[in-house]
Amino acid sequence: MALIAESFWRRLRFTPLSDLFCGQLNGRLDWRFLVAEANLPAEIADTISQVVHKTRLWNGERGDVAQELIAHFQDGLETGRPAKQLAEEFGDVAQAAKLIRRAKRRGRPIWWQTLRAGCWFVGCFFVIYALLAIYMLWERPTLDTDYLAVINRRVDAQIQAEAAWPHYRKAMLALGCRDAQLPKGPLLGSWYQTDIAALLDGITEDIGSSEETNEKDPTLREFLKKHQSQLAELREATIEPRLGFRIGRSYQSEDAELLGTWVDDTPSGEPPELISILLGHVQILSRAGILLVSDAVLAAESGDVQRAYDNLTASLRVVRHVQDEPFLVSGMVSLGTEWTLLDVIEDILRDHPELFSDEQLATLAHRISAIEPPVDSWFESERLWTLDVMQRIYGNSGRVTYKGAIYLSHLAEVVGTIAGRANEQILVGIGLPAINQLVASRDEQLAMHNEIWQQEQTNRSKPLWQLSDQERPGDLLSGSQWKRLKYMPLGLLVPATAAFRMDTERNAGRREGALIGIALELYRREQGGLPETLEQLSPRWLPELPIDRINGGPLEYRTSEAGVVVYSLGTDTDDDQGRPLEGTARYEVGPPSPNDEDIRHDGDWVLWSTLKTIVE
Amino acid sequence: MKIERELMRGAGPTAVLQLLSAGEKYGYELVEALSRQTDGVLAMGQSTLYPMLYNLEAKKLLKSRIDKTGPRPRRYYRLTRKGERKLATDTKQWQAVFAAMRSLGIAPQSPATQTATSGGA
Repeated sequence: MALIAESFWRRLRFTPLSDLFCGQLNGRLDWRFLVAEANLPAEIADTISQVVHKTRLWNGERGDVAQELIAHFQDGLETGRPAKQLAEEFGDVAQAAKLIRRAKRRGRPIWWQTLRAGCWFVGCFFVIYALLAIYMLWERPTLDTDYLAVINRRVDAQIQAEAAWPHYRKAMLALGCRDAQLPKGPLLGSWYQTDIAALLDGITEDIGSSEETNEKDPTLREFLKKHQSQLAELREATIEPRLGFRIGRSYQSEDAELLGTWVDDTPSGEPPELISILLGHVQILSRAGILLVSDAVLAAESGDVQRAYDNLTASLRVVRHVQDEPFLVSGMVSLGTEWTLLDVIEDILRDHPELFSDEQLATLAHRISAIEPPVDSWFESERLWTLDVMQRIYGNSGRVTYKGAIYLSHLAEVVGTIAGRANEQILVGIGLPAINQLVASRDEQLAMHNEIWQQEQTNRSKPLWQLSDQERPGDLLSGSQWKRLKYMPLGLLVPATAAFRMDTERNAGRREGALIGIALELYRREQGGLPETLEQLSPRWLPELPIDRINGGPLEYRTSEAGVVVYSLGTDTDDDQGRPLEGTARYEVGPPSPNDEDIRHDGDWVLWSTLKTIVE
Repeated sequence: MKIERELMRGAGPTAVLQLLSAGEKYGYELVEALSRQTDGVLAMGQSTLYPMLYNLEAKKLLKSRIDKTGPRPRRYYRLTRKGERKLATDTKQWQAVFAAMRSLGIAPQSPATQTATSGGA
């Protein structure tokens, strides 16, 4: 035992810091040394050692207990009682150690008690969390509805003989289209460009395309001239009443040449994922529409009235076919194709006012007025889209499943971006209970989803001048970060309906402008001059006179030797004499904001203009 | 006579507090006093006494100090104010328990009561 006392390191280990600071290296916390130094009989020394050892207390506390027990037994020995008896009278060693430990710990300082409670709390939390995670990992999403089949049911019910798509396919292949692209050259940049006159001569806007035009590539004008028979075939293709394209995650074998080859990797037994369906045919239709309106311009230039007329009516049918596709993205493409078409009609009537007969103009007007974007159908498939994603995220319990969380992560590109795909599964597995605390349940998501669409429908029924900023459906998902996180799946899926509403308003206004423009031309032919007011057009040349879609008032109309201009006062609600917005020309549509001082909103919304240059 | 553990659990601390109310004592003294003054009824092994003392100290009913002046360092325990109040409360409670026990004939009548009862008869 002397060795213990002599060991420097042991003394250092059992000396309290406070004593060390005072220069004492006493090792007074070494309870074994204390017991050994007391020279007690073996039975008693053993009893004390066992008790103190089993308490598993701090060294200081053990020292105190040892010292007290030593004193106790020494007092007992002094009374003459045998060591064996004293050791037996002590009682159960293990029980004593347990009670001493409990009592001593109860007397420890408050910081230790707090730390201990905190550790227990954290420990319990992690245990419960881990159990929850394990429980949640078992649940799988319930994929019980094939929403793609729901969408395709409409196509399946159609008579295949009336389907336009096989004709489009044949015509576009004949025009050299492959992998959803036209041959290089003729339509480079046309996806964004609406200036057909410029496009005809190969002048493309700089759109940052990785492709570049080559001088050897034919211009669109040359291309159209060379492919007249194929264009006639394309016009024929538009005649069928329905498009009849069956949507999927891969294309039919007969479409592979035109649209490319894609492999449907849907696991067997699972319904196909709606979010990754292929819509290459929409791009083909958009190209077809642009080719036809471009050829209409070419025909008008050469005085080929019938071909120009046939191209315009065929383009209108293309618009209708694109509209038939029940997706918001196809809706947007149809709006873009329609916009280009209306632009071309305006250009032709401005540059060749006498080209079409009265009857042709009246028919064009009838067909333009018949365009009615099926917004409900587009939004319905958006709704199905969301429901499909929901069934991939949530399980029967309404909680986010492990597989669903991975799916959500891919959708949001969150975890994969932050941690890399390798750690994604681990992170998602660990985070699953937390994700379920943060992200709303399936029922909550669906309730919010319904609320958003109901508000969207309400808003859609209101004219622009009755819309307030507080009523935008997307606002339901904005607010605090927690709310955004809670409804993250919806935030990722619900489209910007407010912006889309403005796109549909823009086209509707432009459509009304074209109807007024045609009515003005018919009036001029019959009356020998333009009317003094637009009211004179109705009802003979225009059954109903459109109103300003922004403020609900009458549309403005100005004539001069240079031409006519029909316009809305625009969002700034003041009359700028038909001057369009700087840079955006006709595009600013939205609820009236008379107090908006932003210079970018200063101007009118031009709906129809036959001016060679728009009024400055 | 051996007292059941549950009964001892209630009586033991009060007995210890009562012994300390006379002045500070160290562990062995308390063991001896308990055994001697209660004819061994409330005698408790050291394996019970020391944890009890540590508990009472943790509850701030006792305070201890180490005395190094004697032949060996000894830890002396004394009552705190809180301990005194606790003893007073416990004493009242035990008196009430004994009164109740007496009225049920479990505990013997106090001499004063016995005299009054026999006089009345």
